Amino acid sequence: MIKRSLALLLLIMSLCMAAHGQASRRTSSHVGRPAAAHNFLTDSLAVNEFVDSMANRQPKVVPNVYPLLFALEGGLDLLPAAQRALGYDYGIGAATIALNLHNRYIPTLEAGLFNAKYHPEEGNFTYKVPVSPYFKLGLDYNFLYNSDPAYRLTALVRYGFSRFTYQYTNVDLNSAYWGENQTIDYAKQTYSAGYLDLGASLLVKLAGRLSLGWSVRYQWLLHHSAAPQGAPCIIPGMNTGAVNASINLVYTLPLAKSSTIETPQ
Amino acid sequence: MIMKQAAAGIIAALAAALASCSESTCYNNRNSLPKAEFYSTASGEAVSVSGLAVGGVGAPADSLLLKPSASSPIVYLPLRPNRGITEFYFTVADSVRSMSDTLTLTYTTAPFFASAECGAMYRFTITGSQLRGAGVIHSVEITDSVVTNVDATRIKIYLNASPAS
Repeated sequence: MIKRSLALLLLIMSLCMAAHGQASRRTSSHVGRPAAAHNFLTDSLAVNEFVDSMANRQPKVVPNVYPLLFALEGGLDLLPAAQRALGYDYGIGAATIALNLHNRYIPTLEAGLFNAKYHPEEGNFTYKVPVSPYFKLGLDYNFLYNSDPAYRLTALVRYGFSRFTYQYTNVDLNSAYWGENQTIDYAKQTYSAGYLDLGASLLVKLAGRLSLGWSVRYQWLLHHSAAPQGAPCIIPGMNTGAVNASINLVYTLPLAKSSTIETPQ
Repeated sequence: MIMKQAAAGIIAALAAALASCSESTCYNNRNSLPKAEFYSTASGEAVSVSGLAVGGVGAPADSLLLKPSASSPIVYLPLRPNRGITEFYFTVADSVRSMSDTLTLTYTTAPFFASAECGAMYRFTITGSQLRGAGVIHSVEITDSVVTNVDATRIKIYLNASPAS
């Protein structure tokens, strides 16, 4: 009983001393001046003396200079036309439409047309595809998002899809040993394919609202339908190899008023 | 710093992508050719043969697929694309004797596109084999009935002792 009373007394004393210490510290900056009642609620530590060590460890968030709805962009891929002019036997062209968000995230839709009448130099076949559409949906990420929008360096990702028919014609099937030659046309096949583009692009302002962009993409076939007589030689939107490229002429329609955009330093 | 790392990453990815773009060689056959491999009946092991002539029955100018002077562990047996049957003869001839066997392969054909590099061809499915003759060949085993342009053994030919070296 005595021990409990002693312990309670010690606890009360320690609480009193603690409360007194707090009160002394709160009034210590007002030594020599009469302490007003409301001053007891004021923290004597000045803001510039307070250092939040945890806050310094947080990654600094760089704010976006440009507004959310920054621009709407439309583009034309000039490379297929150039390739056709240089003698390629496949490809027509593609158009893109993109919404530029903060000059940083650029969701993009691509739509293209493809046809082919392709006979490889040493091949024993002609690959034919009638005019067929393909679509790609994806996103560009601009690394220079807070810089001058006249220049853009982006990483890009796209999911592409195409459904088309194709045919191998004039297939020269000869047996040198037996001395037998045949030229046949394979049956038409319908094929669906989905693929992934990963790459990078560069965009440079030409004049006014016109820019020129270059992109290089590595492509993977993700899924496809069955092809009993053999897979298509070229899939619309994909190159013959694993790498595809584009040269885009881009028209930019600003969506933000110029007064709301701060000039980047 | 982040920009430099990103640019370096993009350049490395592009370099790797462009490097892989240059492949345009056919690493398989440009025709669907059944590859037959010779085996010793006694040991069951693959052997090279010499003194054996192999040819197609009815081939122009009796041209040979394997000459007796050659020593080879394999022979390609090209199938006639516009027929469902092809015969091959296997002959051992020396100053003492002449022995000949005939191997008949029956099959179905289907048009097939292998790749842009290797081209289009027929794909054969061997449906049967028949052996008759003097006993140069002990037996024949079809290890893979589907014949494409992939250079793999489809037929094992087990030889009696004399032509195997």
